[in-house]
Amino acid sequence: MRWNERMQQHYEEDIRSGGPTYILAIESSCDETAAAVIRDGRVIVSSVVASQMTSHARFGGVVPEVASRAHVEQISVVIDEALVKANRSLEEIQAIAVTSCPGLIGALFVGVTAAKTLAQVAGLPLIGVHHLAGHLYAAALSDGVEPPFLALIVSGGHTELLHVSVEGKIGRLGKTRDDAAGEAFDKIARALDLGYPGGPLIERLANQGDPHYVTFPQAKLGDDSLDFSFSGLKSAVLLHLDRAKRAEQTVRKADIAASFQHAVISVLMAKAKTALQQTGLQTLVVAGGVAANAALREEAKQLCDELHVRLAVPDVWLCTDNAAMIGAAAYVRYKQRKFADLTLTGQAECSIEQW
Amino acid sequence: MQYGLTLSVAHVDATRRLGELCGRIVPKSTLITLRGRLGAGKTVFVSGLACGLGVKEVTHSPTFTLVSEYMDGRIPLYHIDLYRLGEHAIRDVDLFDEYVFGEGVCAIEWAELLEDALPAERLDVHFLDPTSEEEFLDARKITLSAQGIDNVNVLREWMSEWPY
Repeated sequence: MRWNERMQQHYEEDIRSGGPTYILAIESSCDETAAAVIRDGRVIVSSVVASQMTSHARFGGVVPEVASRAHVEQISVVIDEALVKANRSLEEIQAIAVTSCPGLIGALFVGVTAAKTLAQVAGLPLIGVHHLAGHLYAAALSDGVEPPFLALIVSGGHTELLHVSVEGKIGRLGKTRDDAAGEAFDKIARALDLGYPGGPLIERLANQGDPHYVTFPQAKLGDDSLDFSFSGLKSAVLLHLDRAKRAEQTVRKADIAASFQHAVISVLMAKAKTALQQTGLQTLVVAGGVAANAALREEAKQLCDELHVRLAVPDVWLCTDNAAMIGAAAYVRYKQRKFADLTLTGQAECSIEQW
Repeated sequence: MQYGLTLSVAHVDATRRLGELCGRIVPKSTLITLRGRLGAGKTVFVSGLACGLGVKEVTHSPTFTLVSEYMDGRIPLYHIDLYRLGEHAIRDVDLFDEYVFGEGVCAIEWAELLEDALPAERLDVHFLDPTSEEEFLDARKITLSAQGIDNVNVLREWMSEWPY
């Protein structure tokens, strides 16, 4: 029997058995090597995350060669630990899920190769997951939110407004035309000599600053566009720093951090508001690494209160990369019997609409 | 053989236009390096380049994933950003061989980090640090230089289209 037929048969048997579905999920698209066991797409049975943050902090960013090597060293340990913590053997798992795109290509390969090997050895269905779909469904793990909803994904590599239909189909309403929001945080943090990763460092400093100290410009992309642009804002902050330096003024870092953060959040909220009004959707999901920012969470709450819309935000620890969210997204695909075959490979870039 | 010139662009849209004109005429297997500080206009230039090549997708900064591939234009466009690699970029130089020596147009931001490891025959786009007056006006000075006969011809053709 061919692989695909065997997998479909495997699925049928699982459904007939009526028992819970356990998915072993793997994530290795960037800084984190992670594995998790998820029950029925909702319950986190175990979740293990090994971060390379400290090794990258020295370089002020991710180093692909370092990242790939660290993933190779960590992956087996992390998968083992996820199974042990879940108290399940591979025979008691119904499917294997893995982030297959987008990300650092060498890093993705490590996770995808591990997942394919496990699927083949244990004869289990394999599910390739788009990393952003993982972020979307992280909110489902925290508060059980179900589509349809509007999702604002904000991370180091992405800034997107997505429409998730009741069937789980994902449509893109807007995306960044240049820098991602988290990338702007990282670059400004570096310009302010704060270090890496920039998000938490700017947030901490911004807490002591005046968000109205400087009014930084927000991108004008036409009234209708739901796209984002953060490079103009980035240039404006750099220009401000330059001028202060030339005039030999002291740089008021906390005030600049607060003003910058305020400008980013204002744009994100303005676009989310327009998208909610245009689509009439009743739920807003805010996810991705930047969703860990307390000021953004607070502003999103105020926006949703104002519009009488439900807000779903993942727990802070589920905002950054992890495998639990990959398992949650994979469950949706599992129910739709959308399995990958063993030709699955990592891709640096891919559109979420084609996932 | 080499050829170079410095031109002024008055506004960010002119930077995009400059990239677009390049995209219309640039032949396959061309290496373009982009230098200039954060916010100088490197990514904007590449968005124009993509447009000129006929890429439909909206481009974005590849800082996070290091490389963006756009395959739906006249010829492939590889957009690389070495920013996150910093001074350690040189250790990863092999990663980029298939792009640098590939069939498409390879545009590299922060190319100075790989300086000597890159082929000498290429087009260099250098955004000069703006004076405070230029900054105020959002204007930039850009030095374009070409090394090698093929690239010199490309730059000449490119400049014959530049209206300013």
